[in-house]
Formats: sequence, structure tokens, C-alpha cells
Amino acid sequence: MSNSLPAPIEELLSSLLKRNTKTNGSPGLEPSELASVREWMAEVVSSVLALEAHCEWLENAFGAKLRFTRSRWDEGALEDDVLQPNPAFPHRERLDRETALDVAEVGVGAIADDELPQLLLNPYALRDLADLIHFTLPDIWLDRLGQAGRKLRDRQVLSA
Amino acid sequence: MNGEGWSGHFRAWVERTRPVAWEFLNYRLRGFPLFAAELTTVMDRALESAIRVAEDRQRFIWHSPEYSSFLKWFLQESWRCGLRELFTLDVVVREVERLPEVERSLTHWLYVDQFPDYQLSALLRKHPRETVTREDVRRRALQNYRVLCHVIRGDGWGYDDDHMTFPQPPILIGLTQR
Repeated sequence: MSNSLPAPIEELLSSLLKRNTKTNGSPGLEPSELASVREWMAEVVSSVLALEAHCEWLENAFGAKLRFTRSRWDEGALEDDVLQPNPAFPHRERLDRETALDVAEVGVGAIADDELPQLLLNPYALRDLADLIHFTLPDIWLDRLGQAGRKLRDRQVLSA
Repeated sequence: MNGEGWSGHFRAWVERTRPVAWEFLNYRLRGFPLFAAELTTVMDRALESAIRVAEDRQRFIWHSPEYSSFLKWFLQESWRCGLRELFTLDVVVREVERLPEVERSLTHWLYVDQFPDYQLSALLRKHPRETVTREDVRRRALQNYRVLCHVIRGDGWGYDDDHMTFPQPPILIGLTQR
């Protein structure tokens, strides 16, 4: 299912990508950008549509393919075969386990301001958070999951 | 809650839960090329099956006295139903037909019946003196999953750079939790 990012997010990501290059991988955000970044990040980790759009954008931006990796939140018999993230993505480490669990429990406010820009450019960490939220279904995320489900359903009905 | 149980809330709870279940099921079932074209069908059928199971559970008045417990139960039930519904799809039935005969029933016991260890142990035991331990059952389930993936992919198993081949049977999930 191909979909596109909201225009303001696409602009923000394009700008962030330039800053990432200029700063050798340590881009910053303007204080005025923080609220919209947190809002979008919450949508990305709670919505299949937003996550796919964001990751597709990153794949195009970095000219790299996002490899499948097993989720650490849904571990199973295949653990020994875990594939490595694609090194073409400059940011590819997952958040540490405790911070990720904090996000699940209290929301994206648990992420420090200075971690946000790299996280926005890191498809593996975003997908990891989305896995955590979709597999463990924390109470504070249920409304967002419902909103995401309604959008998804509308889209599938329209495309049927 | 009074003596009539949670029936009075049932329809409202189902409607409130449906969008969450839609996102949850889509997240869990997306990314499998074998049935990607039929994902919406699987999800529709899974939700309808889960609703039928929920309707049945209304007979048990303390099953889901609060919405929060109903919601979490319903999502897990819809996932269980989703795995089961996969095996009604022609694309999956065709792959099961290609399995060695000895594997076909076990595949259904793992995905359709989703039997726990002790019942699989009883099903796999060939004679009364044979001991089939929990580890034996899981080893056998893993072997079955590998064979199924081999049949679907033609080479390798489990997953490659792009995707997983097929959802794992529930009995294998969580085996290696750290």
C-alpha cells in the first residue's frame, strides 16, 4: 500500500536530511519544530499507514532498502537468524530497551528533545517502537490505534 | 456489574474495539507476500469470527466485566481467528497440499486449532508407552514450520531481507524470550 507523507512533514524531513549531512549525523531541531515532530512521531509508531509512508520516504532519501529484522518484542524460534540493519541508513540503532518501554508507557514525551531528530531519520528504531506498541497494546496508545484503524479502513474501502 | 453480565454493553464495545482491531490485525498480518492481496478479506473474516466467539462468551457473565479486559481479549481473539482464516485462502490451501502428508494435519493443529503443548503431546503420541515432552512438541512444531516455509519459498525458510515467509504458529512465539 503506497501512500505519501503530509507536505509539512515532508518539508521537515527534507530539511532535517540536509542538516544531517551538514552536521555529520547530528542534526538538531528548532524549538518551534518540537511539538509537530512529537505529534508526527506518535502517529508513525501507532499507524501502519504513517509508518509505511515515513519508511518509504527514508528509503528514497537514503537510496537504501529497509531490511526485514525480527522484532525483539515478539521473539520466537527464529531468533538465531536475526538479520542486520542495512548500513546505508546512517541512523539504525534501536532505542535502548528502557527508553522504548517508557515510550510505550507514557508516550513520545519520554524521548529527549536531542534524540528526536536522529530518531526521525531512523527507520529501524521507529519500526521497533511501532512493534512494541502494536504487540503490547499499552492503554495510553489505544485511542491512537483506533484512529489509525479508522483511517486504514477508510482507505481500504476507497481502494476496494 | 449486575446479574445480566456485560451483554448490555456488547454491541457498543464491539464497535468501539473494531478500529483498534483493524490496525492491530493489519500490523500483524501485513508484509507476507503469499496472502498480501487477500489481507482485507482475512481481516474481515477474522473480525467476524472474533465477534461470533465474543457473542458466545456473553453466556459467561464474568468473562469480560470491564471494557478494558474485553478489548484486550478481543484483540487476541481476532489474531487467533486471523491465523485460522489464513487456512481457508486458496493460496494457502495450495501450499498445504504440497506439504508431505504427515505434516498437513499438524499444520492445522498448530494454526487452526492452536492446541497447547499438552494436547499436541497427546496427538503426537503414537503409542501409550511413548513420552512426548513439551520440548519434543516444540521441536516438532518448529520442524513443521520450517517445512511449510520451504514449500512456500522453494529455498531457505523463515525470512529473508525483505519479509517473513509466513506467520509463526503461536506455540513457537515467545520461546526464546530473554
